[in-house]
Amino acid sequence: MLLKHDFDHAKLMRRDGPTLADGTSFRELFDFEKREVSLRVMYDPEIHQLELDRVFGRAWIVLGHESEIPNPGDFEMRRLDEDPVIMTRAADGSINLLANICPHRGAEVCAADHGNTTRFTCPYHAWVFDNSGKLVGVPFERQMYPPNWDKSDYGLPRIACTVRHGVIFGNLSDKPMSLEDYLGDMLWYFDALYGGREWTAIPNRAGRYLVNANWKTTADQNQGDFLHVVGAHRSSYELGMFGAEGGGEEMGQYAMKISLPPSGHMLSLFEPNAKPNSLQTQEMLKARMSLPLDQRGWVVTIYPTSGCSAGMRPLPDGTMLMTRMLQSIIPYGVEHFDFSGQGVMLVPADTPRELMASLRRSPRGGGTGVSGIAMEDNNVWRSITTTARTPYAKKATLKYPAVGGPNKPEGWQGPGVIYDGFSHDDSQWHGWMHHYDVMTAG
Amino acid sequence: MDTTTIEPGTRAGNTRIHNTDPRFAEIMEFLTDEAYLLDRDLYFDWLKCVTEDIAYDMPARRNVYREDGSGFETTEGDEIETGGGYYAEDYKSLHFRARQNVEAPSSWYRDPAPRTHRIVSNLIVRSTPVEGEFSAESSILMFANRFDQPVADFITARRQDVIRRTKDGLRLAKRLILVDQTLLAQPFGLLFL
Repeated sequence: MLLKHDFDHAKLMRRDGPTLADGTSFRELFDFEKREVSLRVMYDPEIHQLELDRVFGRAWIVLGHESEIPNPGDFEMRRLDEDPVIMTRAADGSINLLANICPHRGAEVCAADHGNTTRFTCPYHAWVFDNSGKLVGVPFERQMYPPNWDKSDYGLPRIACTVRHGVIFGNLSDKPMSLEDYLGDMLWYFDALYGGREWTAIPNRAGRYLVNANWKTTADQNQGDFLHVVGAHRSSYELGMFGAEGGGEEMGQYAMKISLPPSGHMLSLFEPNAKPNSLQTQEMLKARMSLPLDQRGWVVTIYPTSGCSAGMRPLPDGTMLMTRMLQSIIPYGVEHFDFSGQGVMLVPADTPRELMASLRRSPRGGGTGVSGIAMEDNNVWRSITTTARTPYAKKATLKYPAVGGPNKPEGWQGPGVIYDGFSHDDSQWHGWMHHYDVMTAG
Repeated sequence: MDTTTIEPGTRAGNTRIHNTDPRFAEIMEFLTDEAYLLDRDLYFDWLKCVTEDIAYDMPARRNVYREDGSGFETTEGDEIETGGGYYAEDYKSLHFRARQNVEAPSSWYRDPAPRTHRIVSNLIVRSTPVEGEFSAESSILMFANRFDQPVADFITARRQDVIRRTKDGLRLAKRLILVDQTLLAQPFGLLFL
């Protein structure tokens, strides 16, 4: 079961990682031979606290796109895992990420989800900050503080920020690794999908709602779970959404999945109507290799919770418009997350103005909002988090026994471990191995 | 008393139809019947209450400072933007959602059915420039619960409807749902408001 060419397990297996209050080591939660993970990880407040430090405390997380804050003073409140962050453009045009915590006595300085302001005034003692976080004014400065009191020591806490191709990433660490190092082999794909043109956000935000589940339920699925389509989304087949109504169960299992160890990121391209080994599939493969990479629909997962997917949308005149979807799942504690909260849809910035004005996140009737498909996933994630909470969860495991092994199509030039064909559990196991790596690293 | 409208999207200048007018009672009954059908999962019966050109929208709401409005994205003409949010439907997509609710044998999420309770109230009716069409604004409070959840999730919203008199009776031609929450406690997916 230990497939050496997929991942370097040996190094990981030597680490025990942190020990939980009941004496269990993190190592004991994983079975590398059988590819299993203890169910308790899906609901354990102690593990959640460790994740806040080890995972979210060091990750580069997608917070949005520069076109959402085009003008100086524009701000958007975002969350970097559980931390509220002000994403704002300063007078000099720079994009800044500021913690929403007044350095004086801890109050929130920003109360709105978005807007435009050149001054953030704390509602407690009226300290005033500009869009770079600099403290620019305090009441009664002369009476309160000594003459050599240095305001530059008391700015809003600045969060590390890197913008690449307009995509804004944030990192809570004081000394984060570079975004390039964090993306690793994903960089090749990210640049192919986002570089080379400018993108701009279209309006109509997704509606926000909480899913009553642990963030890892969706993060695990986003590492390439195609099998769940025949289970959770069986009704979609029955209603004719994928392929012919009542189509065979193999439909939707054919995918190209690209795991990118040791980064923990992955991306996938799936063909909902492809039957393995059919002529139709051969033709799709040929088409896939001949089209530019950025003209297909990729689902891009950036560990732990970010998505940077690429798609194509048919226009009324029959042409296809490229779209990009940025999204970060936002945990709200151990058993809730906001699924769509920081989602923004992008189109090429040179899209003609008349067309741009008519673009909606989803055309009327186009299946926006909380679809039946989302409900089916949410229901299962809630269910897993519920069972994970029980004492029995310590004895139960999540299992990934379906081994397919890498299968790289001839001529594929991108990096990564490539699983092309009928989808197995391999890419999801990469996801768990990366999670283990991060949780047990020094 | 005629209330000055400050809610977004409502056309000022239309004549108030007071609760002493028989049309007010007729519209209240229509809305009550509609809620009754939805609470009982009778989605295809509910679809008979809407017109074929229905525009059914529920945009997302954000928390904004007063000077920036009510929290809904607006166009330059101060119309509320639709197309994202929770719903942006036409008849065809509503019909498909109705099928998702009750027709597929493997709708695991929908079976057992959640228990919902819609309470419709605070009705304000106005005439519109179009003969036979009324503007009806109402409040909705919907509770929803599943399994042995002891406290139901709830959602409140203001609905701005256009109700049209057809040869078959009153029909819903347009609904804009203005929700109060910016973050819902649960998805309330496939539960029409």
